[in-house]
Amino acid sequence: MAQEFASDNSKNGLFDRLKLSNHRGFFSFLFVSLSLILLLVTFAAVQQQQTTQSKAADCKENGALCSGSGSKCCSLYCNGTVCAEALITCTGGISEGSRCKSDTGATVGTCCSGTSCTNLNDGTKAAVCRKPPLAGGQGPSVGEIEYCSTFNSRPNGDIQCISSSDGKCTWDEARKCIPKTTELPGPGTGGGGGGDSACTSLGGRCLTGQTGREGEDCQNIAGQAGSGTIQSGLCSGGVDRKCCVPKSTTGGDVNCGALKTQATCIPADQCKWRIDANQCRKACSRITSQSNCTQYTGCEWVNSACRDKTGTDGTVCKENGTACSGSGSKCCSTYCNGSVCADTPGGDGGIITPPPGGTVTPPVGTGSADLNLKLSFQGIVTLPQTKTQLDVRVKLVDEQNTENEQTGVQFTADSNGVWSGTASFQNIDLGKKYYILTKGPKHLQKKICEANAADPQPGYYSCQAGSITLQSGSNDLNYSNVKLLVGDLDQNGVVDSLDTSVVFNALLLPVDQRQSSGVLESADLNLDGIVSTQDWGLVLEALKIKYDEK
Amino acid sequence: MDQNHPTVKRIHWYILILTIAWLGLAWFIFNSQYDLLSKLIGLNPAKNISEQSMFKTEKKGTITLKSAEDLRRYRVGQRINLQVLADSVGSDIVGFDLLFKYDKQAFSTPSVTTPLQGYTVVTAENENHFTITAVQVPGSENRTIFNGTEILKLVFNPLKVGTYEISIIPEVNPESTKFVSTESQQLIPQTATFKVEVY
Repeated sequence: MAQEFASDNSKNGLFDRLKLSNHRGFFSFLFVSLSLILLLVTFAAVQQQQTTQSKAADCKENGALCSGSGSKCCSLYCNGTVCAEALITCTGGISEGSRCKSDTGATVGTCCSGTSCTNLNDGTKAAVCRKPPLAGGQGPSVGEIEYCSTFNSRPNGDIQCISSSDGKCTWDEARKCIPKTTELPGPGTGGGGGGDSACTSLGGRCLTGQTGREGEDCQNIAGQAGSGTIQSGLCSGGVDRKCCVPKSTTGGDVNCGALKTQATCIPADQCKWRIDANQCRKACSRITSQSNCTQYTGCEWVNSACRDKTGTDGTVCKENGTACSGSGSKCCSTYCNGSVCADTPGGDGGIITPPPGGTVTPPVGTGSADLNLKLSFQGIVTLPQTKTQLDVRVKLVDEQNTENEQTGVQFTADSNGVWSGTASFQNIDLGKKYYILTKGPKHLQKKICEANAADPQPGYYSCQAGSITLQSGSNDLNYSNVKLLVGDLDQNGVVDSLDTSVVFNALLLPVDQRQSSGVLESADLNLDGIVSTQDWGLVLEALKIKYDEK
Repeated sequence: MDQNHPTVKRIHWYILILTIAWLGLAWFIFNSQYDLLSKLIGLNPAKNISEQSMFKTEKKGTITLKSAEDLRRYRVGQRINLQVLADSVGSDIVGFDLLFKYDKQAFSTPSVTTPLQGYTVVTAENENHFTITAVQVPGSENRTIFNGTEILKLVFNPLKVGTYEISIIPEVNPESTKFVSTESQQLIPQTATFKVEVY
């Protein structure tokens, strides 16, 4: 066949020139051609794939990726879920999750759901989404924040903050339009407007570098320090939310001595309130030299590190404010004997009588202990809407750091948001002292060392050595005053940007989707049936603590 | 036919060589376009954190460290203003974590700020590394596609004479250096090191 082909074309000059009139030349031509064709096809496929990929994901040059069917990339603008020739500003929070921002003015259409949209007659014709009026007592939602901040992104940047017309926004000192009501419902308050808020890039405590105000609360517009209220380690208030970083931000050496009250003596890893001296002092763990460590009352130098003196039996509690483990978690003015205060070592507490030498003899032997635990999860203060049972991991750790673990311990919520469950441990040494590690399904692990532990500020309880003694059978341990921070969504022991992104991205969704089961399962941290700024506040608070306690 | 036999044999060799050459070329093209090799390596479950997480992971993007003063030599006590520049290769980012490693005897804890609008920064000092987490807050309006964008400013204070490295490290279990996109996808960027001489 090839010979015929060759002979048929033997008179063809081109074939002669290319030496295709023999087998070798013909097959050379054939395979080179095939190779070229295949190469072209490969390039075409690659190009096609690249184009598809950029349409699906990049949209770098030409606006947002639309969230509509096929996740198409718009050639001009994305209006919610559809492409449009003009970009619609729909920044009113309860939008369709679009991140399209501009204000060429056009129909609003699909961009907002559950809101009404208004064209402002101020020359720019920007369309903004208005959300329904807030219920009494509620702080601004994401929508409110976005709504006000819309006016910051206007072309001229200084048009109006429309506080006069709707009363929801106001200028701050830097002429940023911010929500007038700046108190968001705080974590753990159940949305009651507790004054806590997600202290973002604003507000909080001045760190080193802000001359003369290190460690102090932010200065407000009138130069008056701390006029924004500080609660639960977060910042709130209005005009003072500008100069500082969140309170628990490290990396600036907080000047603890400048913090004048116990409430502001935080973060716990930086500062510690000394009851005896009525002062906020540097945390022992931050002291690096032995000589400095021993100068600090309440600190001791152990294993080349400075640590808090622990309130063991018979030691003077008042120096470092160690709470006695007895009822009421009282701090002893003189001596703490186990769970009671006494005037002398082994003195008049009447419950535990230490032998001469001041050491309490604990019960000995091994046995089984049921820990009837009551826990509290940050952000849940009433009966949850979506779940009333959660699986918790409970570890019992002794003085030699031997761990005894129970996973999947089921806890049930009551109407006060207190969760009860029982973790059973077999063959444990009843003569030892323990601490307990608890970790909820989306929570950071919490270390609890005392029988009656309590948060000084929500989420800020911390301890060193375990002092929990157990008896055979039931042991009631009420930790409803210790909040387990929520935010470790992937349960890898650290809260990071991946965890926060889950809540952030959920907040971009429309209301109905934020209430869908899939979204609730991943991002509804306070189990109230909707992903809201409260959940964001919770994960941000956990981000400040960041790691599992160990 | 017998005379043609050697020619046919040669043609078979020719076909084989051409086929191999073409396959090699095709592999080269695909690999250069999609970095198949690194993707295959990235599938190693022991090394890829995506296997330990419910979130998707992709090796994508770069981070660059640069001194604002354009210097490599600093005196003791002279502040080093370090800029962190990022490229997210078109991905819209809503947060990122950077793990820094430096000689803690040679530098004091750096102060950290971000020029990114609508971001908040939280830092954490660990025994052997320093973690910076920056997250976009709800209500911020900007899309943040990093394209050589300055994402952080760090100020280091050198304490000791010597030659040192300030590095962004990929991973300290369970943490990792990453960008996080609007789809909660982890992008693992190429990291960087800044070398400095303190005198």
